[in-house]
Amino acid sequence: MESRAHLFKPAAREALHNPDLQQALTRVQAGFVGKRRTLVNKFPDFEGLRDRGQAMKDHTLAHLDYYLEQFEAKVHEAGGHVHWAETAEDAQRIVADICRQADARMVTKGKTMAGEEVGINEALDAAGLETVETDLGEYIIQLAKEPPSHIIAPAIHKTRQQICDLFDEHHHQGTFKEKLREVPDLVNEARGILRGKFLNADVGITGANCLVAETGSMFLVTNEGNGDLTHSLPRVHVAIAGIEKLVPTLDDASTLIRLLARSATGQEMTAYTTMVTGPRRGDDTDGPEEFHIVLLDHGRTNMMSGRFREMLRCIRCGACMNHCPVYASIGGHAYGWVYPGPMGSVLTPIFVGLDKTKDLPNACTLNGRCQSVCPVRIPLPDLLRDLREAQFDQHLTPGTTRHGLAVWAWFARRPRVYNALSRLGIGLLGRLGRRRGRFRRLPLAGAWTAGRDFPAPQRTTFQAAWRQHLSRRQTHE
Amino acid sequence: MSDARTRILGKVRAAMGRETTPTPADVQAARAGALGKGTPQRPVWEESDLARFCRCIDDAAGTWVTVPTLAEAGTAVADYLAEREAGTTVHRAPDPRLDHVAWPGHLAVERATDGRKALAAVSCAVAGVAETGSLALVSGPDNPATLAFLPDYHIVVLGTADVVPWFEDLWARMREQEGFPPRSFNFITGPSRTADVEQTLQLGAHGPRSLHVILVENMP
Ligand code: SF4
Repeated sequence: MESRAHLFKPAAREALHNPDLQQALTRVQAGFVGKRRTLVNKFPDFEGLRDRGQAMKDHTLAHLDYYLEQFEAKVHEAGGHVHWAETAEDAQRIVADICRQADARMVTKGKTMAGEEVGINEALDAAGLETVETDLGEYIIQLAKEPPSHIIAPAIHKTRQQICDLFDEHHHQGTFKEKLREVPDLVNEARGILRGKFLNADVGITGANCLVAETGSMFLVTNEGNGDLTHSLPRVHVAIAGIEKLVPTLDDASTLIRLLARSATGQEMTAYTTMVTGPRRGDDTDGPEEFHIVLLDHGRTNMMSGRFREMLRCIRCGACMNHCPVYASIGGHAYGWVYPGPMGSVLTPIFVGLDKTKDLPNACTLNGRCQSVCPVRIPLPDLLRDLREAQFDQHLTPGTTRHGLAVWAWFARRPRVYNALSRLGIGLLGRLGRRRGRFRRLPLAGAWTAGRDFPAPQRTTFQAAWRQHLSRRQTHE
Repeated sequence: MSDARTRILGKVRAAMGRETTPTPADVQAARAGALGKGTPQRPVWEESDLARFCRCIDDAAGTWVTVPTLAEAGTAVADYLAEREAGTTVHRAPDPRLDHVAWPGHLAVERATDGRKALAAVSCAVAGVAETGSLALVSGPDNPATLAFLPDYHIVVLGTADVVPWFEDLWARMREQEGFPPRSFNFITGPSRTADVEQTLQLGAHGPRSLHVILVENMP
């Protein structure tokens, strides 16, 4: 998919003023956050589980060559095909070739973020195939010709009225006018239409939630059952997965699924968790005749050395965006590429280029909630800070910021002047703001106060307060 | 294509500062160091495994009933279909264990090799996992996978002795079995659902609208 991340600022501004989007966004945090918390509290040692998830993924990544080779050998043993894709174009070509060889006309798709990343749908369109998304959320945004706005709830930005209008336009040629229909009615209608597609598809394409080296299997986690109909009914099943999806054993897969289900949808287990290994066996009476897995690099190996390897632990659960105040205000589209929220602000600059995604590492308040909920303990705020540093080093930071920082640095290197000036400023602001405790408007800070109030400082500087604290502690001891 | 493979593996090795793939012994040692020997963190419960299993099915909006013998599962199927007004035709999996079921005369029972024509279907699970209330179904000629996904009503027969506490127990058991892994090993936890319209939960998205478990106390 083409990136629009360079348009982050105008897109975010537009999102803040879009009433439909704002209405839809209130539901993100209400649903996901509470359900996750309930289950995490119920689990005896969730912090220990997170530690294990982190250690398991780190171990796998450090031996990824070994596990990839083991996985490949096991897939071959089960009669499946393994394809290696270095780039988005590789992946597109591989999938299009498989479809061509299968003489396919129609392709059903389960939700795959790796597929979104490399633009599989565009490639299949170009090859003249009918491609149908079968996850209800993905189906809705396919009708709307929009990218997903959340990695596990792709149509979360759509209101029911908007979905009614889309279904009216595409299923009823506009005869329903603006009628607001009930949820069961809409779900049933999509079920009926997509059932026909499932039964007639020639190729089914899915993602994978993890790949198991021990058995050459992939796990697929859904609630709708669309993933299973997508891989079980057509003649050919193609799965696309990033190389970081490997886990060593079935026991490790269970650890990952315990973390994923709780962190993503706040469930102990999704309705359907499926382990797929190869194509149909000799005496099977259903299932695909061919199984293909596309192992995708697309920049992942560049993250293997150094700090950003930590990001490869990501299991795509979405918890970081569910808990992000910036995501909650602007939704997923403003981020401009397939991955939104905190994990997207790290991944998009790496995949698309730092120069084209200048605003993303800065679209963060460094409040740390994402890191505190991440099931595999990815230090997202630290990685964003590293990206900001890289921007500064590459001279991608805007001039005003650079000059401002230079002025600040001049004072910071002269502690006496710095202290005197900050005491003066803080004292003045504290006295002025004493009555209301905050400022509606401040000179030179119009951009800040346009969208929020500025809290009045406590009339003493942090350094002075700290000194006082230390001396108090000493007298106590 | 094989070039891409060489380059990807080469980049992984370069990043890790080595030229060849580590040996199995090295990887095992590293794994033991990283993960230790202890059991993984997992849910615990005070009630029996079977009670936990049933409670989790309830939580996932599934239903269940216990019968003493497999023969009596036939009446349980008929009762369930009548209660749901789901007709009197049922597609059963070819699993030979279902040959022991005494099907009531008014039911039309058909052997199904896939789920394409079934409105209501009966299959057999190899195990249940108490941790989550999940049914474990092995695809194959005995239990075609699509039988679990295409019907509106899915009924699953399971022996109470086959309920294991955690997933690790199931893996230990399955690794011993011939033909494992099957093409599709399905863990089913309640009926199909979606929350894609306004985060409102709706059952019966693409798969079964309802899931019923018949627990057999003396499974042959
Ligand atoms: S970064 Fe962590 S919280 Fe965010 S999607 Fe990835 S695993 Fe989940």
